[in-house]
Amino acid sequence: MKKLLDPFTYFSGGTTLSIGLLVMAGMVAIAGATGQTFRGVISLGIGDLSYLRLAGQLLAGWGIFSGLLYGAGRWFSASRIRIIDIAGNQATAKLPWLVLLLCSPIYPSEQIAGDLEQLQNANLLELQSFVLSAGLLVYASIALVMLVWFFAWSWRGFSIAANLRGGRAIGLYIGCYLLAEALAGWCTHALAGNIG
Amino acid sequence: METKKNLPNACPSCSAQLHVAALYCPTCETRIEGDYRLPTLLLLPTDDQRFVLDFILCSGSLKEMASRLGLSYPTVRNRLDDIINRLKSYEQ
Repeated sequence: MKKLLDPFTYFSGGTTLSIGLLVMAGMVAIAGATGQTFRGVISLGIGDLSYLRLAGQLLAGWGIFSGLLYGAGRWFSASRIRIIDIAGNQATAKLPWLVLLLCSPIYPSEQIAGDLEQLQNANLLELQSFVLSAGLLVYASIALVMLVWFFAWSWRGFSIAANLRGGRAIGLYIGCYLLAEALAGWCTHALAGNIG
Repeated sequence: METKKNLPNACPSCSAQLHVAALYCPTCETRIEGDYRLPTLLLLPTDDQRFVLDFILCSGSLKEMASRLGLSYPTVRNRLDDIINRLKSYEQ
């Protein structure tokens, strides 16, 4: 149980990188099969992309975030940190998104697209009577839990790999995340064929 | 059965660093009295002393230490870095 709650105290480097790459391969396979895409570091979208582009999107989000965390760690940590620990831990921290993708049949992408279209075209009166489907509520609840799980693992993975703790380290992590989200957002958008 | 005793390094009353006031030879019962500072390594908490000893016995290999303790490499390295920082503060 301790290893599940705090895996990076017990595993790192090659182990977490291998697990993480398997997790990401699973994510690409499920996203491709269910018509979902990756946006930025953590967001999921709807679309019909090739497996290669999906893999590119996922690797871009992971690579940019890991690279920024490594740079920040090298700059601020007094310890000799290793890129394999940072990247491996961030890859394993994506496990919650694999779980969320496995739950996607609860609220399929076709239904999401339909609901979004209905919401966009609805006037104010129709919006008031818009009933959220049970599938959406369950899926949103799972997504919220997975989001918390992801950030808990991702932060812990960075903190252990870079030997940084306290408020300043949390600020550094949040800064890296926001920057990575912006950079990866542009990259994943480009990989979806929406730029250029 | 012999009771395992830990050498205290801080005063239980005021938390100041303790000094060695007497040494005793159990073979010839010689006693030496004086005022000696504890060696820096003995100022560490007992579990940190054990960690340093294990680290030396592993020939200074953090990977071997991690494998022996069932912990990840960064966890062991962080622990060592914390001990280094503590030792540096004692030296100052």
